Amino acid sequence: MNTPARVSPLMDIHAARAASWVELEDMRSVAAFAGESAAHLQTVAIGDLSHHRRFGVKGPGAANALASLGITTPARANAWVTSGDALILRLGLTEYLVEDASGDATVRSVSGLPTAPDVYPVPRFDAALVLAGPQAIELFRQTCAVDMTTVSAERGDLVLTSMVGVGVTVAAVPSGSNTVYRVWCDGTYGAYLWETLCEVAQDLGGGPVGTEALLRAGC
Amino acid sequence: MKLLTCPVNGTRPVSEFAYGGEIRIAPDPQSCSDAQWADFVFNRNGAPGIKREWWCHTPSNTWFIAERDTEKDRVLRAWLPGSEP
Repeated sequence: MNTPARVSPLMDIHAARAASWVELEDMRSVAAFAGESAAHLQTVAIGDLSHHRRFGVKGPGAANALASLGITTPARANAWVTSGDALILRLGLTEYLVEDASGDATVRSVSGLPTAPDVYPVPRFDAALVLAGPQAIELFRQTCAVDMTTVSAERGDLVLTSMVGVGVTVAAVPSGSNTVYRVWCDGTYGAYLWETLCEVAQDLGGGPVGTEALLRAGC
Repeated sequence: MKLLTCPVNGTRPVSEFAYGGEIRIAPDPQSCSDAQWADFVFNRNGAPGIKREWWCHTPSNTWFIAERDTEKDRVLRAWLPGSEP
């Protein structure tokens, strides 16, 4: 039996609720949850995308170091762009988070950046979630202080704020004709954030969905 | 809800921030007296007035300086270290 090389920060909490599993990017992920409904995506659905590979880099020379690898970075603070297949998030002024959509070519090149006095690697072990559906805005209204209707996917906006007391990075990302919200938080807070958001989502008629439904929805 | 404006992240509830204390100039430990050093280490100025303080926006770990009227609890302006307006 092959043991997945990577473990989701939400693994323990998923174990009791998963109906089927799939291995993505060497991480055991939930393909579908027990009692999951496609209707969740019509209200508010929460998914776990922790399997995407990611790496951080920060420091005054971080932007130049990424540029030397051919990676495009956002021109302004608190914004994201895509560079090839990867999502590049600029967190504040001089910190960047790189997340691959599939494969690990970009993340591997960033994690292999040579040591420099003004470039610092930031290994990331985030719980990475996605909130989709028209009621996602209502979920944010109940759990965080930022008005997400002002956060534009077209502009590539992201915000660093707190949700239910947990420091998070939230990026509005286009998905077809809709906007979905990617949420990253420190992995140690992942289970609490997941459970709390699931409770709020269930009150709104939604709930957790597995990676199969997320892929079908284009998330 | 009390609000504070981070120079990078914008206006947020004060619950997203941590207070880092008043900015104070340390006396030269090589030349000051024990009494002066003890005063710096142990005593704080509690008199109300306009003070410069360290604040941190905790979700982004952004440290900045805010000038606050501690009598009226109003933040007058805020800036990143090294970029005072």
